[in-house]
Amino acid sequence: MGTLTYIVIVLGLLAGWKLIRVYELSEELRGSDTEEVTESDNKWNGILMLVMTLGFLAMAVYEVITYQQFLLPPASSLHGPEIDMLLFVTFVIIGIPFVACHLVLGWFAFAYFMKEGREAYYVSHNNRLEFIWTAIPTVVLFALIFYGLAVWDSVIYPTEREEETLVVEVLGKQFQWVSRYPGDDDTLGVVNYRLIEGTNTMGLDMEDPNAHDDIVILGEMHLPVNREVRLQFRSQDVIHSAYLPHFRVQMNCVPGMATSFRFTPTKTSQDMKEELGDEKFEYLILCNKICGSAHYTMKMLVVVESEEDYNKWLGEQKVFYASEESKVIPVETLAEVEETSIEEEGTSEESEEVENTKI
Amino acid sequence: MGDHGHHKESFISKYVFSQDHKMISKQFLITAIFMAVIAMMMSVFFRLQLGFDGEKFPILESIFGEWAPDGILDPGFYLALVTMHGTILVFSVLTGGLSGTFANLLIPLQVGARDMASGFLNMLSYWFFLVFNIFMIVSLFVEGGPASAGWTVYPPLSALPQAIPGSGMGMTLWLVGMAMFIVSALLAGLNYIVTIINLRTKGMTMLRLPLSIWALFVTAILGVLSFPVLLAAALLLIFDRSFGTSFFLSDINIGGEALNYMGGSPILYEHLFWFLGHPEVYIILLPALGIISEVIATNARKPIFGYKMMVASILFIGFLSFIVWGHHMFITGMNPFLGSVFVATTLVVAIPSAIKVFNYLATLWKANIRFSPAMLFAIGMVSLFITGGVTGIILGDSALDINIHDTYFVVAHFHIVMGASAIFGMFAGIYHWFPKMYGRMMNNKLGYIHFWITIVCVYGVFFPMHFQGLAGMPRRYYSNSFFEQFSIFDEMNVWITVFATLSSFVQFLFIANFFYSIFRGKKATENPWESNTLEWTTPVDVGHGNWPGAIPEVHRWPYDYSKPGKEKDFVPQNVPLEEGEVDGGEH
Repeated sequence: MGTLTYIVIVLGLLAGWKLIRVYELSEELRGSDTEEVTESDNKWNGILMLVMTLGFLAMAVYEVITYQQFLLPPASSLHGPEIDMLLFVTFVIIGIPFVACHLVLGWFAFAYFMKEGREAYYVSHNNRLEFIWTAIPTVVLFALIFYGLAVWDSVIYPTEREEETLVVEVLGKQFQWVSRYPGDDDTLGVVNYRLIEGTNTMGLDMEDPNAHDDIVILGEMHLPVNREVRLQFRSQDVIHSAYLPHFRVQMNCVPGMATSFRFTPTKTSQDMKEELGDEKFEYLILCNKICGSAHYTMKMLVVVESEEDYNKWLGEQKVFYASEESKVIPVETLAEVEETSIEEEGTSEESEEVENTKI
Repeated sequence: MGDHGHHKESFISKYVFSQDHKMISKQFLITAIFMAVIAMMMSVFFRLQLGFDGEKFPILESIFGEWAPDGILDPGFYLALVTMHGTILVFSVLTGGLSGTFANLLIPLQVGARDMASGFLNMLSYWFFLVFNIFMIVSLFVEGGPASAGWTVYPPLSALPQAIPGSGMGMTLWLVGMAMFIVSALLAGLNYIVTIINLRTKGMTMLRLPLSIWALFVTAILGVLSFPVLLAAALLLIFDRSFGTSFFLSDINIGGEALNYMGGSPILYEHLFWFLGHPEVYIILLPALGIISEVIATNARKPIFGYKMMVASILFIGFLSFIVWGHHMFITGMNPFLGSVFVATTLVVAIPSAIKVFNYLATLWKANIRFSPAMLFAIGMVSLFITGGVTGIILGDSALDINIHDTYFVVAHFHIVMGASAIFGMFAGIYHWFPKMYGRMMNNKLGYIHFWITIVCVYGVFFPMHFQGLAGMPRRYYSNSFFEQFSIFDEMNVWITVFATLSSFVQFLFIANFFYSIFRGKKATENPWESNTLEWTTPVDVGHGNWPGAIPEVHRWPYDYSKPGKEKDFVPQNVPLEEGEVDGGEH
């Protein structure tokens, strides 16, 4: 099969070669010259240029209209609408030169194709014209820069709110997201990447009392609506990027470095289901930085709900230290249990692989 | 520099270890075409996966064996294909191939020199380039496959074989090969700069240089200043990978094992990489813009509009390209204030870019356009440059980048503005200077078919991707099956794949035309496009040394097309000014 493919490719190339030869010979017989740019070449290409430009612009408009429904719904966070507005304004501003330049390009290519008796107009420059088309983009771009920076500023440094900011930690690892809540003491305990072992997916250091009431959840995160949250990101292995498109939030998770993003969700998951008329809608965190073979499978469910529902849910979660599955291991005995835990991981990896091949 | 035209050359010294810039240029071009075909076929293979997720293509298994069991690409190998597609096209084709071909061909011929300042270094630059390409091809066959961490090879993914199989031997070859490539780029760049500064013929002042030379000049400066930084990054990464240092690695626990790397930062690597990576975009784009400046002026039969503004724009873009790299890193956790600075510098790049577009449009106004295939591709590039350029204003704005960073919007943007548009510039150059390189003409009709199908396919492939990106669809996903919300794009993905496949097959038409014309094309005349620049004053089959007699003297700028009161619509640069005539570039 393999060799056959290559033979077919080679034969195809040879056939192409011969076809060109036949074509050239037939053109020679007909007396036309395929190496010269003829008058009709100029005419037809000029016309095609105009047709293509208009066709392209028509397609652009068509796609903008028909694909509108595919785009992200209005933002579900407090800062999101500012970004959406900036995006809209920028699209309008860039849309104008995009359409105008293409119309001019297509028109000139059509209107000035070479023909008998036409002579090009000798002009090398025009200072006034050049000043105008330097000044206009300069003014517009500086306006955009200031507008953009104002939005950037208010997104990155949101105004302080009265109630306390909720802190949730998100850890990215190949190929899973893990979230951690501080528990009753509102303080996240100390973590150490060397302690990540077996069920201690976060690497919680149990010698720190603050860690005792931390809650660790695999692949899921709940947030109360209308309360500011600071997501703190960590990575266990390679760079990941926590991407929450509906909230207009994205931040890289970098091993050895703490990153964070502050935002306020404004619509509950239920609100969104109703708004979109889609019962299956869920907020998600996607991984948006290439992180390994199963990069495309990495996701976390994000549930935004009312403060009461959130508190109820949080109350049902087991504290990691106390949970049955947690076999927290003192540092000294790490070596002893290493073997068993590796075995455990091995089997879980295998089952993951089986799942992947099913897709 | 004597006249080398007459001494006898053996096959080896003429075709293999040649020091003649014209031959080296052809070597670069043929190598680049070969690599481009490989990279292009890779894109067809991974597009098959994206367009027809889950379908079986037995041909894939027959080509890739265990990398495509049952005719479905392996997810890891998909990433390898994406990575190598990017690496080969960015470095082999659009950096080495584009600059190597046209800087070598045009610099000595257009400034009026018998060869590069150092023919030997020039030859060496090709051989280092070839070694890089061999490394890239060899890496396709090693255990674990080729580098798979994306063409930017960010550590820790690229540093740890545990993280992805391609980060083993394949990645080592990638890094060592890249070091070879950088040596090649530096040798070539120094040579180009020295040649342009020192070897211009009498009368060839800097402001009489064709824009192609200005573009190649600034490109060479960018390369010489930025490539060493990538070399540093590559070497440090080699140290981290092989000798246990921690420049880029810290706090890693992978495969159930806590590694001992401490205190390094992957973000440092990103800074070093993009300090080359962003100028690299202009290293790719500027030569293409230089080429189409020549092609447009010659075929519009009209001076390029605003020559001095064009030169100023090239210089300004070159300068700015060094202070915008951070726009690739807005959401890495970099200090937000630093982000603000990069927003400002990035958006300012749009000003010289806009000036260039307006000047091209003004050049076409009241022109007398001859649509050679080269001219079609040049106009096509202007269109792509507009379409792809405007979306840069969105991506360069940090607040907007938050939500479209690393989505298909980025893929659409850079493929249009830098990928396709630079390839179009390269095609324009090949069709235009083919008669100079091979002494024969290419077939125009095939060139027209090539252009029209290609441009339709380019927009068919990349324009819809903007919408995928705005819908939040991440790039480098092997499959969208894990995210229900992206199933709306299933049909669009099929169309994109169809366009991508079609455009790939059309490129074989070009390749057939190219190789056929080398041997069987109609013999070219000395100046087939009636152009003004010096390369068209050399005889068709000239040997090493370029001009059999004395080097021509230059008396005017290169854009005296359709000058009033002249007999013909072009006046070559070596024609003396008449009594009382003003040089077109002076007033």
